[in-house]
Amino acid sequence: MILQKEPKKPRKRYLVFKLYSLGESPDFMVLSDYLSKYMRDFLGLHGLIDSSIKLIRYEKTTRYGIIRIASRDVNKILLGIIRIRKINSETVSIIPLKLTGNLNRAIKYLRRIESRPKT
Amino acid sequence: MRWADLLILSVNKEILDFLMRNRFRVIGLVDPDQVPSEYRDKFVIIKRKIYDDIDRVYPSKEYLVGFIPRDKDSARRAGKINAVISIIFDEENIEFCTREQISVMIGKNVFIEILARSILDDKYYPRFMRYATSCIRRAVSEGIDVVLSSGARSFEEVFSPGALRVIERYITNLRGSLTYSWYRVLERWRIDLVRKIDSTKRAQEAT
Repeated sequence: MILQKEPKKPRKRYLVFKLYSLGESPDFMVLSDYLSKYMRDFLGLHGLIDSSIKLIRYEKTTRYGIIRIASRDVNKILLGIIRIRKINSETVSIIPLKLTGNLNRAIKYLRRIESRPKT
Repeated sequence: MRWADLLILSVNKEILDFLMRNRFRVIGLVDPDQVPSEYRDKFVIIKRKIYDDIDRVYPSKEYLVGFIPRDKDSARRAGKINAVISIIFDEENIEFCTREQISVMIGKNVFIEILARSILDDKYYPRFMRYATSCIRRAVSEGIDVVLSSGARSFEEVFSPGALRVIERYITNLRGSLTYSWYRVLERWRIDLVRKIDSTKRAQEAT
């Protein structure tokens, strides 16, 4: 009997981002729903499953957030994310700030940039 | 790290605010008069002239000249010019950037300018990415400078430094190959301008 190698479990990556919007900032649920809908269109249903994309955290007031993605095809998924330009007719731009493999590190980075004085 | 967007076709206050907040310091504009006076000292503005007729293209020290080829022959002719001018490829002419185009450009001062706004168009996206990926990889491997500019006509088409880096990572996976090549181009075009950029950066760091 030939034992098949179990495929490696894809690692997770955490993207810290800022949502730059001309109008009102969307809330967590709206952004989360839009993200999965948009990525389903961009990657296809199977691609969406493989990407395991999920909005982990989003603060409406500061507009900073964290998205979890699978490390496999990370560049393709990021390319999809930066193409987002409209959420519910509001013009937005998702600005990737940092990509890390550790959620705690992502949160620490997020806290640091949130506490920076606004210019 | 200094960031530049060498081709913005139209600017307004929203775009300039976005660029300022995202650490862009060098911007290339077709019409620099569109920039309000309060933003003038925030950026180093490079004047651009864009042509689509090869017979009108001439190198200039005042303007960074760009050429948008409308057919394969004019793209080849532009590729043979030994001056710092850009050949601009967008969703409409990216198929002219082939192996032959790259081979005529080897050893010349002319560089490739890819407009990132083309990736936002759902209709052209797959075709553009297919041609652009092979074109850029081939050009970078042959030592031809490839600059990634937004070519923005509205706020929606402007890209942040992080977004430009994502595109670079996807296409070449070489840090600085597309996002920092503007510096090499400007060094060849006008070294005095590069010195000015460096000195303004040092002054900003000192304050």
